[in-house]
Amino acid sequence: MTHSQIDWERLERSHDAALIEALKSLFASGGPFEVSADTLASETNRSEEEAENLLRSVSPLKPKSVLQCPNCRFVLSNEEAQAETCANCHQQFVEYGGVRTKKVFVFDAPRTRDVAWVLALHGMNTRGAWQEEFNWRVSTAYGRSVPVAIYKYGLVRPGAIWRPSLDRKVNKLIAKIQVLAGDAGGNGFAGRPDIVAHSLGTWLIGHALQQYPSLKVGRVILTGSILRPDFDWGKLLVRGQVEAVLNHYGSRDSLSGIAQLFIPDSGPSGKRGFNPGPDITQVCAPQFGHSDFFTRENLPNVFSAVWQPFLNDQISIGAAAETETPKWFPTIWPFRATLLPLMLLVLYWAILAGLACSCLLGIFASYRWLHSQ
Amino acid sequence: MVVRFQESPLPAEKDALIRLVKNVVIAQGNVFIKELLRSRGIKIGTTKAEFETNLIAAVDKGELRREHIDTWLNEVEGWGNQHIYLFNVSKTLRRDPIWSDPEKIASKIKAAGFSREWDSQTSLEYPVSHTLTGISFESGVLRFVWHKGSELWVRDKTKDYREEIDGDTYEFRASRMRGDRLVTRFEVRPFDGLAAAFLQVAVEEEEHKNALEKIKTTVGRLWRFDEFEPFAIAKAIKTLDARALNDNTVTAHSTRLNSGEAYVEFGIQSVESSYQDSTPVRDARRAVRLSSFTGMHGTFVVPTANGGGGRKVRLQMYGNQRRVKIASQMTAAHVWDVLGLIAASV
Repeated sequence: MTHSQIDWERLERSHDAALIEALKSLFASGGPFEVSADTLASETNRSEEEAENLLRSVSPLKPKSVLQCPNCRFVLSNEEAQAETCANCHQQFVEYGGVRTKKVFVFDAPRTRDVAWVLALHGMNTRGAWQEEFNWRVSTAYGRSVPVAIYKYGLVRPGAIWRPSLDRKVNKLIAKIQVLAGDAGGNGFAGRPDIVAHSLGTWLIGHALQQYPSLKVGRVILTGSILRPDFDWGKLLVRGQVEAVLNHYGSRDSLSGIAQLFIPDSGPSGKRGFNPGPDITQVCAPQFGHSDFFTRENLPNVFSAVWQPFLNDQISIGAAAETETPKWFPTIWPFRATLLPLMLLVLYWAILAGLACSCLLGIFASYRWLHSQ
Repeated sequence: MVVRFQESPLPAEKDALIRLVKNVVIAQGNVFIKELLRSRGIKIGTTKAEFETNLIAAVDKGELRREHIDTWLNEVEGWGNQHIYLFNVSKTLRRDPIWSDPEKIASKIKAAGFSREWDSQTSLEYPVSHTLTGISFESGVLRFVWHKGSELWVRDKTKDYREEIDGDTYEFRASRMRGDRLVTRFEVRPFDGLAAAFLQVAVEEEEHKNALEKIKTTVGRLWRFDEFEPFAIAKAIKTLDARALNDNTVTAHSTRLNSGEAYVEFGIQSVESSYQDSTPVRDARRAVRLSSFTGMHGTFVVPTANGGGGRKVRLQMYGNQRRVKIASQMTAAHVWDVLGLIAASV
């Protein structure tokens, strides 16, 4: 049984509310803990016996005896307790009535995971206003400073359909991560960054990891992802470049759905999830569009209910896909960001050329008109 | 180390061995006594009293001989349950060609007036003061050993009694005396660039300081003692504590970090667990910028063999005293494994 399955309502009927609140706060912190009845009771006005009764009735807690020196109360290992004298105060145990035992209750769980620092990557057509809101969420979620690096590469409109332009952005992103990692290490926050990426940011981080096997990150959260659903996360996980991946996708993400028509090597993973196979976590947000994760109404809940547990909980690593998605196949070649971007580029340059010609003709016509006066 | 073999034990040797068994051997940890008995195919037993009976019977039958106890004592006696001062061997001393020539080392030691102690047999004596009983150089390790007899009074409540004297009741509390020995060592490992002083005398006692001085004086007859640079234990405390945050082979039990005389302390009241298991406490620890603090005290549970496969022991480190304390009894190899872990942390 885990702590989430504890029947708190039943316990509230037979135990003191203040004791239950004190115990709940221990579970809420996450990870393993040990607590004795006197410690639990100390912040309430209830007795040690009442606290012990409560601890006994919570089944995930297991009683354990702790050995102590009868003189200095130094906690002893089994081996130390077998000696004649205390390893700490050098007094003979027998002189003070023998080794003491104290009862504690243990909740056995994996240690929670620490977030070292976070890199937030925005999408195209935006300067990532959500990043500031996200920064605030992270800053207030932990009892310590978690640096959030906000990477802004500016507005990307025509450049998003041009592969060389995207590759330049990938190179700039890698350089930025290396600089930030160096700064973070120097300031005592060493460790891999966790990534939260949206839209084009997902494309950039995915391709940066593919192109640079030496680039290593912690956990990756993707929203509005435009990576191909057959993107090979498995290879990156095996190479140890990525610790774990969460794809939080919205069933109404139409922009992600059409990304493959315009952006090279992209796909609708932000709308329908990645193909089954790689050991990544996929969570569907029903009715969410491309940027709905970041609205003022949604972000607090999305962060506390999905992203924060994924970043901190050891158990969520390798969790199976929430829903099985059918295998994705790219659309036929002419519509796969191949001819269309070229046509759009030709059109773009044609419009620019037309505008330039119009300007020149206008200047020439104005010149002739002035001379004719 | 020269081990002298004899065909059959002489009565005098037998008596000395039985005395050694009753005091020094029995004083070692049960796990190590069992290992000695097992290695010689002697009946083991479960209590100290049974060990003693079986050991004495084995000495009587000639199954347990001086050379067996010598080899075992060298590995076990005075290893663990001790205070350790770690030093870096200076570059000059490390590069001295003498370390590649045991003959030259022997000459140097004899020339310094230690002919009697050089390569001597393991001492069975209980000297009243710290006495240098042996110097050896084996497998690239130069080892100085001092012994001192001590009296350990083991409380025995079964012998307590009350007596009425002149109308008043007196209570007499009994303790049985057991002869014991305290071992002090100084080892130089030039090829690892490390040296260490090992003291079993309690740190609170004046004798601890005297034993340390004795080491310096003795070794000082061979080399200037400042060739051995005291190790920055304070730095190792910080490194081990930081390592424990991401590596579960080292468990941080408690850490005290000072900023001048002000300090912050993290700890847990449990032997097996780490204070870093607690999310709120670890969050508080992560908020500490180590570069602003000095590692003043640390208790870690560390593996005795590289890779974490061995037994785990508690290691107490005192930054300002540059002192390490190991509470468990260990073998020489395991103590050096642990010291290697500390050395790698600076």
